[in-house]
Amino acid sequence: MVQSKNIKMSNRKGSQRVARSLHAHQIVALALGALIYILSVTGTLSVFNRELQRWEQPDAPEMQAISPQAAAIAAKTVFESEPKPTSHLYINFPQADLPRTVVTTDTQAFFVRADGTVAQKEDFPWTQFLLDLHYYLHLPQILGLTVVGALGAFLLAMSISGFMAHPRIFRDAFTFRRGRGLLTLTDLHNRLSVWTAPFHISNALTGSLLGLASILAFVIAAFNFDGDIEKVFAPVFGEEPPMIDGRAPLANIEAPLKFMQTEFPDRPPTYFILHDPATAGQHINLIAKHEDRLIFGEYYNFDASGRYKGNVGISDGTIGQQIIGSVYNIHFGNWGGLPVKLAYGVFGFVLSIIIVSGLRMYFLRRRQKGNPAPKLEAAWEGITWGTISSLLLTFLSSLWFGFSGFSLVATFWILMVATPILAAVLADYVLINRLLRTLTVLCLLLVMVSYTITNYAVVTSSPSLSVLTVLLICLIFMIFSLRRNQGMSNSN
Amino acid sequence: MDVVNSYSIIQTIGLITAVCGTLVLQTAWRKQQRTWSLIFFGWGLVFVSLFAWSQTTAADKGFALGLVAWVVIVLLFLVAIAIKSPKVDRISNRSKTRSVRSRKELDIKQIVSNISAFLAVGPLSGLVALLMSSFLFTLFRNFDVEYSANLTTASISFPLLWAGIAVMIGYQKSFKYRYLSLSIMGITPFLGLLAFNGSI
Repeated sequence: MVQSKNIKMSNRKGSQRVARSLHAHQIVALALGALIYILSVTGTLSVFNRELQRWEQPDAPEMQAISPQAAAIAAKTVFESEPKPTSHLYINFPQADLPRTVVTTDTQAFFVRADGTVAQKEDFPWTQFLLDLHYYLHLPQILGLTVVGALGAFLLAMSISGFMAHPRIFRDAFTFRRGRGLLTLTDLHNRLSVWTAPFHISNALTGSLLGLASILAFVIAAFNFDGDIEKVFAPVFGEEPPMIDGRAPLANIEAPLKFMQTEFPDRPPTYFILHDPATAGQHINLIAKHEDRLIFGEYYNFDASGRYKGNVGISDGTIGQQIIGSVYNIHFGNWGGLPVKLAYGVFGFVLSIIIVSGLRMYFLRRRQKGNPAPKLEAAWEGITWGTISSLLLTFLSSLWFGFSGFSLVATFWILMVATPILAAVLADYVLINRLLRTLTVLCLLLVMVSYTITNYAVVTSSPSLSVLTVLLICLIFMIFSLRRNQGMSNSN
Repeated sequence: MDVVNSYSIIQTIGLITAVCGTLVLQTAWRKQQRTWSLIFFGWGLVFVSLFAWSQTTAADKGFALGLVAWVVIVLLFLVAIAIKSPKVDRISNRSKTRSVRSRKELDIKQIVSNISAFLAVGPLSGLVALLMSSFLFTLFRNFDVEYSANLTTASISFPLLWAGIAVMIGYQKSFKYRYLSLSIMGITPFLGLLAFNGSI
């Protein structure tokens, strides 16, 4: 008798815990689901940002490597073409997924040919728009980073509350029931959430760590370093030497590159930074890749004459330096070549499905309880497909009308605000779903045709062809799923 | 045998043990009674796979590669299960929708409660987490903990604390309890920070 009473009590406590955890899960999902979904979709695409850069500007000169001499000539040419002295001079070296050399100053960026001559300006407005959307949600930098970081923390919160609300997590580990409405949706949401947890938890954590670093550094600096934020990061990434006024000849750019070739041939330079060029205090950081590690690279420091001054310690320094140095790569999936990128693409797609299915479950449950929210449900459908069609429409506006920068941002956000509002007015989620999916198919088709017409001379090149193939697969899949849904609704 | 070949062999072992581990876990799941031996064996194989991957390159990258490979394998398993599972006729199983209840008037109390819940779970939890992680950093700095390890711990603990506090606060039903817990959790590290700073 006492035993059965205890069982009843513990069951009640258990169901209370599930209900309360679900409540916490829902608060975050309803309030911020749309923004987290936008970050998930743009993050998935951002994994392939280098491929997209090549696709968007397919006629740029490409090479597997560039000689130190050619890189130095190009950097000097660009530096001398600057009307006002730049505070930094950068060289991006060719890599497997982006075999291009780019010289960048504070105001401009140029491609370079393998012989060191300067080619056209770097110009990939849509990919830049996409990256800015994922990094900052197009908000001012620090504010944007913080908001995005906070959304990462909320994604973590949803993972924690999701696990708490799922007492049968192991008993249901491989359960999947097809064609059963809410049950199918629940299985889809739960199975994908649990099994891809290593990915979405690590990605939410690294994303929020990157985004919230500035605000944390601000508070730490206020209480520990008299408000000097640079002092917070200096022991990890190295200290910036003080600026020394007075002109000097431009630093020796070739020597550090040659030094790396002879002393560290297995650590290819990816990024060259000349601080305060042509001043008495100019100095060089060279970031080189460590292929066998998760870190983004190691800083190798040189003085203006090209003399090696040692490394910062991202690869062999303290454990904290090595962990912080790995955060960026873990988040963006650019540490294991194309297979890892493709896996990240799949995981990102799965995360988007988890978010969409979670909110669909909520609306379906409300309908089943006789408490539907048709406007909200239609608006959510508007966000789900509106995000994808708006991204495609912004690409078309960039291709057709030369939109870039603010005009792309404005186009995207006008569409993203208008779509859910219109959907809410229509208050028919089935209609909205069909309309927006048809629009997405049309946009995909238009993107492929317009791109092929605009870039017909280079359309058979590898970057163009691979992206077009992926788009074609998406198009076929979308048409197939639209027709299947049409068939089902006709037979019903 | 050259190094590349031996790495390929270890990678293959990693892949095979990951597939076998997942298969064993699925077999354990199929059994009616909980079979701990199979569950432990399954997880053991998964860990062997991760260990094998960690030997193919530097440990950090190898382990991460193993984890990615294993999650991909599990996803393939899930796709296979989804395809195999019998599809129930949609019409006969269409989810029943209850008749729509009469709509209540716009409930101001509910709206205020939702806004207050969001404020507590969102910005206020964030502020408390920020104060806590800054306090942890300052505390460990005073104990001469190695700097970069301390900063890394603070950087990782900030989002984790925010998520944890948000869940805890969202879990509470009572408005008063929510804000009381937040106040206590926020004021304590703030006073600690002021004390370390010499302001108190």
